[in-house]
Amino acid sequence: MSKLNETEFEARWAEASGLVYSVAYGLLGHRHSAEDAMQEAATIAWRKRGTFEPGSNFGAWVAQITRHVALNSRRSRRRRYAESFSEATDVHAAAEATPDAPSPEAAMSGEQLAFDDAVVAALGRLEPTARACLLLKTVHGHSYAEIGGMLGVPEGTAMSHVHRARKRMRETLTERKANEGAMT
Amino acid sequence: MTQKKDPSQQGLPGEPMDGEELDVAEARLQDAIDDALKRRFGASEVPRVSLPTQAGGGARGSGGSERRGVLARIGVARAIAAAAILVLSGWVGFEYVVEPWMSAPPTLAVQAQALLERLVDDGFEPGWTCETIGEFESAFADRLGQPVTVDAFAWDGVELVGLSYVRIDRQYSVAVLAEVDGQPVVVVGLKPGARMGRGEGVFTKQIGALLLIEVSTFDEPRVLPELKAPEPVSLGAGGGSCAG
Repeated sequence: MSKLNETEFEARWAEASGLVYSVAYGLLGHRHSAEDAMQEAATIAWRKRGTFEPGSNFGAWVAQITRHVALNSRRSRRRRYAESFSEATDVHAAAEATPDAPSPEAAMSGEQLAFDDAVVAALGRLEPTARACLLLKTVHGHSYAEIGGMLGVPEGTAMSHVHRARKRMRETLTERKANEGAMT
Repeated sequence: MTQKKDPSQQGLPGEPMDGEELDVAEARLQDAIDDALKRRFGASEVPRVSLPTQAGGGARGSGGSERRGVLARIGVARAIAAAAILVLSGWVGFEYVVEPWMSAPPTLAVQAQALLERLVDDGFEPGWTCETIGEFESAFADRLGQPVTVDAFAWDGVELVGLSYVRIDRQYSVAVLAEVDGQPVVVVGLKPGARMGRGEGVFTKQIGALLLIEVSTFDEPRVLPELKAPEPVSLGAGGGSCAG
């Protein structure tokens, strides 16, 4: 079995990094924690690249590694306090993008940014596996069987996680809107 | 915190997903949520990590071994410097941090911070929610012997998400889970007595015989100022027990 060389690994990682981020963010719930998990997953994947079978799905393989890293990270629960709340800083920093620094968000209205923030906040209130399932389905369009394989849950469970997560998100955002309306 | 959770609305495994029937408003909201998730978790938002292939050992071409040799020498120097720093910081750390810490139990401030961390780790899900202010008051009165009230479940950037049973300082207590400007905040009620200690983002307020501790990353309390003892006339009005 031939190992991936550096160029191949980098190319495949670039393709899979969005997926890896969704798994890490889903299971950990915070950008900085997810970034740490991605870093560790990349290191492990490189070290264990000899076990990757050429022709198989690199994204699924590295997603499983990321899942193990994220679960270990959750168990250790170190440094989480500081990290868990810096997410809002990231959100606000994004929202404060200046017109001189064009970004997809620069063209968005304040209302749209506020809605996106609310969506991320609602996402943070989901159970971790449900959050990961929702991201893998919505952002990456994976099948429930693929999601189940990556996260180590049955296909039907992945399906119900997505269903409930969507419903919960709608309820949370509807409730938020009602509360905002009541305040004004 | 205005609606109780309805288990009948939680969906069942195997229900149709993509084909689920939504009314027009729900479908629009779902589309907007999906779009927001794609924006926030799309390719442009993915953090870049330093791949091990780029971290010194991954040089390509004929210059690779030379570069690796230089990097190795730099690595040895760094390792020696790091070891020296480690020894020094280890001594300072033990003398001034570890030893005093080991000789004292964690303060309430530290325990409250750990509680917030644990609740966040668990998804920041409340154990139950209340529909009325009266229920909220009763939750504290029934469990901690001191009613606590609030004028509303949401105000300037603050939303009370719900309540949870928690264990802190060997007491079973009630915690208010709140979301403040998108960040989790917890207020826990305790019978005073243990050493409070100090901690960043930890604030206290006494209501009757109850000590309320708010913990967050903010530099000022955002929930505590709105919590208070109910007026005598309001006791019992609209009371009842919370769901959950």
